[in-house]
Amino acid sequence: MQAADVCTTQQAAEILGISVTSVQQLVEAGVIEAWKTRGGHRRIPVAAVHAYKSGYTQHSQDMRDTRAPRPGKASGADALASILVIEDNPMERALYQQQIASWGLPARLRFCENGYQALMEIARDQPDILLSDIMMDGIDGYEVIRTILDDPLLADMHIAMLSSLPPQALEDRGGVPEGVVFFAKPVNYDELRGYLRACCAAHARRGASA
Amino acid sequence: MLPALSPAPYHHIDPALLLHAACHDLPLFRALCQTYLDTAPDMLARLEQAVRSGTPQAIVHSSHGLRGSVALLGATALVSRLVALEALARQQERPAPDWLDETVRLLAQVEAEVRRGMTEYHDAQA
Repeated sequence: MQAADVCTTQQAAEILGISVTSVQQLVEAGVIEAWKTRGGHRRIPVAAVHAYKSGYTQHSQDMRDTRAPRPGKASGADALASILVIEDNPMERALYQQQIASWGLPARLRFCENGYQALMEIARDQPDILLSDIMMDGIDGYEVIRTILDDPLLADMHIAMLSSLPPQALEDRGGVPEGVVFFAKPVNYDELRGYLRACCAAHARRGASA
Repeated sequence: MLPALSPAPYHHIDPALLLHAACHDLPLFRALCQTYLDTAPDMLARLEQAVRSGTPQAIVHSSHGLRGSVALLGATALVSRLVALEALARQQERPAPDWLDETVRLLAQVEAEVRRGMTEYHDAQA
């Protein structure tokens, strides 16, 4: 393979428009192929980066251009709020399922195990409420939420971050974005229930006025 | 008939915490314990590899993942240990040489109590 056919982690990050850390995580997760030189430097085939980018761009494009409006927004017919939870820990997913189901909310609940899967799911069917873990392999919660916040069509989505990251680590990532609610883990389910009830009530009001 | 013996206390986890989070659903409690037993070995392997490589980002990620699970079990000593490791890694520092051995020992104690909890927690506790 010629030198021009491979790139560094930094160059891959620039091509993809994501952080070096995210590229490293995508490589470690096997999403983008790569190898290391004898000196320990990571080398990534440019073709693999572009292949990933075309898939990623397509999903972003789907979100912006080809997505259908939510039934609830368009007609007021969908009384149930749609909740999407992004969580990579299977124990936490099971607990969210159990807890949220026990609250009797007028809502549908879906799960994604990582940020990449979540972006595809959001493009396919926009949720009204997003609960996202932050630290995940590959595309993490911050990148999912920033993608959503950059999209005007998703401006009315209720977004909450849930994480056990210490305050300084959150600050290092730019803090909690404006308009996003933060829940520290272990999650106080009473607080989460109150938040989701408020979100579902707002969804119902919006449906009634549509 | 012999009187029922009180169960020995748990020192490394708090099963009641997990049972409460599971809405006192015993089948779910046991399923969560089993999920922990199924997933912890891989998480530990990732942590061991990260600590041996000394890569801060990998240490933080692998520790954070394991911490999420053991926190649900109420394994407070292990959680504190992993929090301290992540803080060290964020400062580009490495843990003491025996850190891994001690953590593996602690995880084995946690695992033993998780297995015990799965057998001891019955309808009476729910």
